[in-house]
Amino acid sequence: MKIEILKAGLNTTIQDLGRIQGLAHGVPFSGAMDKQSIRFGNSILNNSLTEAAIEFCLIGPTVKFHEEGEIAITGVNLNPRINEIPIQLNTKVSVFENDILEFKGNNSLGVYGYLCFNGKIDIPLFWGSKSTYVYGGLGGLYGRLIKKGDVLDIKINTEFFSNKNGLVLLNTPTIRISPGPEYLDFSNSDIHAIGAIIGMISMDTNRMGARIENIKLQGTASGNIISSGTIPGTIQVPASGKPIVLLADSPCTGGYPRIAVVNSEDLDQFCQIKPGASFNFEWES
Amino acid sequence: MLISCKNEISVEIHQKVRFLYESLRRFPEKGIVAVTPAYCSLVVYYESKIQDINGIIVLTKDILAHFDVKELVTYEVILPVCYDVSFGLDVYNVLEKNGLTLSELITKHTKPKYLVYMIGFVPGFLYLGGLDHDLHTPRLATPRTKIPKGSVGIADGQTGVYPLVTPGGWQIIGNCPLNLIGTNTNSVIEMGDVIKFKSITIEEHKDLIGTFPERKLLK
Repeated sequence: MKIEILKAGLNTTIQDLGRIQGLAHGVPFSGAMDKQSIRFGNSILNNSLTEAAIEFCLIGPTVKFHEEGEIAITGVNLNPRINEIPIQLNTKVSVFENDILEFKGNNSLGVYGYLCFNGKIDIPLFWGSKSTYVYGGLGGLYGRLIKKGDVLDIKINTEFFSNKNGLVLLNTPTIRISPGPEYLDFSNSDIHAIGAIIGMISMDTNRMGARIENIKLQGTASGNIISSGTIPGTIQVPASGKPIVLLADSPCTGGYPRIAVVNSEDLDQFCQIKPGASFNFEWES
Repeated sequence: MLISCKNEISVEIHQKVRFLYESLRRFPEKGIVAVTPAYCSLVVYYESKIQDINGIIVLTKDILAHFDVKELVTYEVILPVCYDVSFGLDVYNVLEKNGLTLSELITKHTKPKYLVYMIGFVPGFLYLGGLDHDLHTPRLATPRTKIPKGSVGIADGQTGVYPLVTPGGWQIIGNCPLNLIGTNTNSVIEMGDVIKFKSITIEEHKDLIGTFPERKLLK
């Protein structure tokens, strides 16, 4: 199957489940912000769960199909249509030559969506993954965002893999957190505050990290640590006192105290919270 | 899982971290999928279906019980740098602050063997120790929004190469034409390697753009 991008949408990239072998060399995980949704899309199409898809963010791309094939759309519901006719999310949809897929607006929960194909996107691997790391200009399609005029080849898959469930997006979700390495360096009031807030995601949030808008912590005495490893979900507190939750494209090491870590089962849900929307943190008991 | 050593930047702690990093990586069958070493700590990623945290702790203690500095082999990497002022965006700041001529700066910067303490911040960014005191220069008051790929910089007692275009506040004194971002584990500089800078001309710089560094085993 061959597809052509007619409109890019917002922050549209190729992502899979990311890469792990480059961490010691400063190559971050990257990969889908909502891994459950990309796995679900692949499982609907009987793909390997590690196959790549097109990730888009709040505004979907417009795509023309030059050959027939099958697709599935998962994650945020941006009202997808093929040739003006609405199609369902989370199900296998057949497409034919010259069909045009577009997304008409946004009236739902969530941020990230996935356009999955029944087959492998034909691009080279970088450190074992097709994920795009735009900040570093690495991986994916020439290390950059998908743009108008891009053409992708999809090699049709013949293997069969098992099924997974999709992610149910929640309003004001509760996100469980566990103590981070510098937990004990924070005051009791900071620890209480972060576990009690109804947080709001800042507008300057991206694949590298999410800032939390409406909380200001005192922070630790020194305000810094000797650079040490971080993972997606690590919550750092810089001198400003505004916590940052590190996400898929975050650096592999950092120099700010780590108060907490988002539980990995809740990270997909966290990534799907819109800027300006609220959530609760809750210390895992 | 995070393993923290004594909270300091020193060669001794670095060697311990490196020994753990190199040893732990040899146990994929024990569920270890990746290790991120830093100055005095490591993050260990393991497959919880194969191994629990206690298993990793036991393995770590066992490795440390056999810690022997002599088992660490050292590789040397020579990084060519063009110190032409057309690349050295801030070289006059560094010369003025330290009362040096350009040729003195080149001599002092190319003389030491720098130790790669860790790699991070962005892909291929080397945290080097060993900068000559006479070259120490504070960061720019206002960081640049874009630093050219390959820029060689100084920030207080640190020196390093920007492997890709990023924002940054280091004082830029030259440019290294090599590609420092490998595409797999066989093609990159590792923590614990020793770096030497070598002064090259603009013409040599042009010829080397995009080539990869070579690791040589030191006897």
